[in-house]
Amino acid sequence: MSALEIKHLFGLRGVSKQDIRLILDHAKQFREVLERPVKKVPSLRGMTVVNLFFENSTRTRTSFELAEKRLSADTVNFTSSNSSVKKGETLVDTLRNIEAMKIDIVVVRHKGTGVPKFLADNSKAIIVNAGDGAHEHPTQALLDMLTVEEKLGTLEGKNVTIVGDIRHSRVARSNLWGMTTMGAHVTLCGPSTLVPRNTELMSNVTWESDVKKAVKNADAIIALRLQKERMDDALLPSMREYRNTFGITHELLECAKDKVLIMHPGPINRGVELDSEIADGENSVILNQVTNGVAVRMAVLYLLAGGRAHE
Amino acid sequence: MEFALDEMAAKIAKMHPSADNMIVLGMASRGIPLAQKLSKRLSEKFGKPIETGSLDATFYRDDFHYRKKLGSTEMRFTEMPASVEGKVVILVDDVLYTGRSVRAALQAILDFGRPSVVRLCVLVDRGHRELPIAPDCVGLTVETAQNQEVRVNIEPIDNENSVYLVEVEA
Repeated sequence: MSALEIKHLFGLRGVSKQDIRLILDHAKQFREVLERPVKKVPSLRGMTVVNLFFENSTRTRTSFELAEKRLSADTVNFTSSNSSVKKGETLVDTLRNIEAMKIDIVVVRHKGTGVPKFLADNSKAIIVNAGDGAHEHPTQALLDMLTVEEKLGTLEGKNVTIVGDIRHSRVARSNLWGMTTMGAHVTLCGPSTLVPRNTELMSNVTWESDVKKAVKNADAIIALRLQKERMDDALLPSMREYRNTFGITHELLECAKDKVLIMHPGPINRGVELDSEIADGENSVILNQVTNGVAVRMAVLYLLAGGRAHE
Repeated sequence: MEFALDEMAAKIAKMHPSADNMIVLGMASRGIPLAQKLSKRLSEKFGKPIETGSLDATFYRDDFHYRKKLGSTEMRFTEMPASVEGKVVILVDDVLYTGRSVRAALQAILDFGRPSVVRLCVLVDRGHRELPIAPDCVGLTVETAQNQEVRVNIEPIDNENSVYLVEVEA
């Protein structure tokens, strides 16, 4: 087994099964490191990582930052809320400035689709996408995949159902590319106003508008966070109606398998896409996802940094 | 190989006449079955089970940035059966070469705690050390050239128990 074929992580679309396997296998090893008394290894000592977050995110940034620190990298955070972006600096200028500071890896989140690719084209640094617009959020999907493998042994042949605002969800997008590559069968379910328009995307998966049918054979259900802005855009009538039609509730789970895994990328709108008793119930693996997030991000950083070394 | 392991077990028993506080750690990947074989002999000698585990020091290696290939993750895992604090740690590997793996392993062990002693047992010492590291027990010492490779096969990872000296293309 050799190094990763990819040089940057923009998304999971087009990433080979072998690469995903390598990341997930390394993540399992890093999960063990996280159980040790000293939860730190010296692999990335001397490397500098910048977390470039143009969109607010506490949890993804914290998870990346912990992963970087546990690999002994030096980290700096750059968030748009208190940065020069507010003063009108362009993306290229921001990047050039960061580059001049000799950064090895850039972890980026931006509302614009394709920003990670743009940065890679204009810089020597290794780029990791931490979410770009409604495009992809690959590390979230990788941690979801690791969680399913941890609980069910494999993704091959498993049924994964994603419920919610599929059209605007980068989590759903990355998950369906990644999970189908690993041999899982993905079913998407949500309001008809929020069906993705991309036909290539939809050709790989099953669309089911009836949530009861969508969860019936599922081994894992991923509930997506409902964004309040969708009400303003008149794509949804109300939170209450959404909950009644697509919310993951106790009654809905009576239609599903006993052992079905309940997942959520967080933060949860309790009582909207997911009821509290389910989020805290025995089927929920939401906190396993959070732990796996650190391990998966360590694996991605470790493998990408290792691949760069012998160019 | 069996004979070499008998010798090693005898030597360790002489150095440390008690099974209490002893922990045998195999270095991934072929040190792991070796450690199990050695530990079996030691527990027969002492008449009680010995804590046995494994150590994968990949993430501690200093040549991470120079390696062309990342190793396979198969048979590479760390399993600490007990705390190493105050213990006699017997570190086991198949081949001792530059000493860099042992250095990485030592750093990894020290992150788990402070053992009272660490001993190093290797099946084959092939020389060419790059760091001041010396084994305590050696099964076989061979003179080798840099373009040669010592290939150790151990069940159940391989189909046989054997040691080969092979020429490799530079």
